[in-house]
Amino acid sequence: MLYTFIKKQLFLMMRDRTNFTLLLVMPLILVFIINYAIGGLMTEETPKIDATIAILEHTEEKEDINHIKKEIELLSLPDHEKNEMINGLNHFKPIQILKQEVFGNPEIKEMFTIEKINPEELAAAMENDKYTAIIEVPENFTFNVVKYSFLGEGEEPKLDLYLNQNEELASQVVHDLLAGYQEQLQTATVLEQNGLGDLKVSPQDLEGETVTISGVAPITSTTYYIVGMSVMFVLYVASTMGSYAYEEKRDHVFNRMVLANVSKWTYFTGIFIASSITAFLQLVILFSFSIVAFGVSWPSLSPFLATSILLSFAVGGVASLLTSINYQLNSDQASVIFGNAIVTVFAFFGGSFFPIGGDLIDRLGNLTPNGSGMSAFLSAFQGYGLGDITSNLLFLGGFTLLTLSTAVTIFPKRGKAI
Amino acid sequence: MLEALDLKKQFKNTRAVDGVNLFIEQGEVVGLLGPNGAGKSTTISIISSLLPPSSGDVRFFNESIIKKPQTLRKHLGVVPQEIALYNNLTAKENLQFFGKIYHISSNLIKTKMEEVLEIVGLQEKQNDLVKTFSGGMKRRLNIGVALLHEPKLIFMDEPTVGIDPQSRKYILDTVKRLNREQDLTILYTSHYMEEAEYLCDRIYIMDQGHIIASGNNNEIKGILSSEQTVVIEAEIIEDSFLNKLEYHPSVTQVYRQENAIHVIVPLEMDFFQTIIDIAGETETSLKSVQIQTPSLEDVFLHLTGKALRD
Repeated sequence: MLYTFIKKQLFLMMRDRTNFTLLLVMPLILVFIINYAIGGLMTEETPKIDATIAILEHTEEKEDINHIKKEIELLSLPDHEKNEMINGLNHFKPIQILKQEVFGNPEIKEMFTIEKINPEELAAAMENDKYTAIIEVPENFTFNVVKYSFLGEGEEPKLDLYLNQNEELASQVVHDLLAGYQEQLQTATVLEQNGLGDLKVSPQDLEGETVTISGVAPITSTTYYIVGMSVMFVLYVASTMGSYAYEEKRDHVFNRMVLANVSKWTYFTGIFIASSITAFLQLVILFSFSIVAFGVSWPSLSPFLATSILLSFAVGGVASLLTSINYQLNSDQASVIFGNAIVTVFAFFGGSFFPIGGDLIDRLGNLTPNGSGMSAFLSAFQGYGLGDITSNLLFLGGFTLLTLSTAVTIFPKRGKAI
Repeated sequence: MLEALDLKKQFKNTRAVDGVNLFIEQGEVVGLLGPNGAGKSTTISIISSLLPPSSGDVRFFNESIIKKPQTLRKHLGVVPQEIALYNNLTAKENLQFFGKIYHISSNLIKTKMEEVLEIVGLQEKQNDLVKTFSGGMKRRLNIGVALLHEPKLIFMDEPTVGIDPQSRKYILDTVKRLNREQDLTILYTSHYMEEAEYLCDRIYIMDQGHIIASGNNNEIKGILSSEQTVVIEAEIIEDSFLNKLEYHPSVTQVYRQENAIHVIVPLEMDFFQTIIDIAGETETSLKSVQIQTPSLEDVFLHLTGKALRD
């Protein structure tokens, strides 16, 4: 029986071109437009970045160089080979390169101020909004890089990067610069191992998305708006399903169901499940399309799936509630108002249009299903796990139960619903 | 088979149904006639268990359906006045959906669908979306859906409203065939008196929430057995001509139907000369004058003071 209801609802949805366009095509078009607009901004205008980056070095690079020189002296190699290697070291100072060539480049220098911090200042610096990024150079970094590059010993050392999520654009630039730097370092390693090394790094070379540094991944504008538009447009599933349910009452199809002894519970469960499935499919299609069209990727699938499922349930709950209100009012006004006004208000507070700051608004946003879903999706994108989005998931579950129980309570009794 | 006992239904300040008593025997076609607002649809909603009455009872095979409507619903098919179908589904998908909610098994549903599509003459259109159907085709499918679970009793609420004469004839013949060949019991409401005359074994006439007359065709017509109907056709019907007829002391009733005037007068009266005189006085050129025995329409008008399609 439920399968019959769900199948019918999905058929109706697929054959309704207007709603099909609204639910699937419109969010993609909007993401394209926003992406294009932001892309234009990035390429045609110089971004106005004025940011401070903290660098924490656990060991001085000079000490590392001296350390490796001593190690080379002890090697059982001919003297000329040892001298060659020691001379090579004069051109291979990764941290110096990072400071002087990468962040010391005139174009980059205009945007970033570098400040050196001590290990004991790290915790405070991470709490401080002053820094756009903190680059932590682990102990013996240069020593390990040289050892790995020249002697092929040990593991490839990595820098730790902490990004300030409140400064999205500057964070992204630092991330890209460092990713490129790391890539160049890998190339240099290969060259050194083949006796061709002479590392020079310029910002023009610093492109690419290879993320080998640790820390939390930043959210790009494209990712942000894909999530924003998806969680906004998924709400339209609820208003659409609510309208379909009212049409069943208006056209007396619901009476046929009553006469077939279909219970209120079956009817509600049908609407809830069909709406949830539609919402889930919509999210999956939108996110799958964004993987192909925008190259978006998910660090982990489980938080994405859990959020999608619970957000879809919340949409199912809203659809059931709208159905009940429509039946009570004997019109589809509840769906119309929800679709035309409430979705926009929810989208605003939920942050679908732009990130809104402020504790109160942030809290309000998380009290909307889309806002809560968006927070969870963005966290998932940043690499957080299921444990980190539990509060959002619990909210979505609670929201579903609340809307469903309200819907069942206010649905008209026999004789009032026809 | 089914009887309604002193049914009443109050909506705020309106009493839509006021003490209705009626019964339907197995194998009968019963007509429920009345003008708009007479309470026919409310009565059908109550006796089909969709709407609880304010008071009174409905019994199906001597069991009250008010608290336990399930048995009646299992054996009842309802053809609502509205097209209760999904426009964005095909005829076949509609039948499949409604068949499933009546718990018809997947194996049986295919056979039942073919039977129903044949009865309503929509085999060729079964894969077309309902929204592409003509009014008549939608009405036929509306009937088909109600037949799918093989009901013993079927309520048809004005199933021929707003359709072309061909579809109307098809539906009337189908109803007649279903009654004769499948022994289907039918309660039929209509605005068209000729449909009731053609189909129904017995008729209830309803007005303002009451049953005001009941019986078979002859019994109903017998209400006007002491009167005759004079049907007058004229080139142009002037108001002065109508007024003179209405105020004539021997005339019981006058009503206009399309291009003709129906005048009800006592049976023993020779009214022909009076009509010629009034036409002369009002300069009305007559086309024809016929004397008929009263029709159901005349009886209806006599009882309610309103034409059926007012």
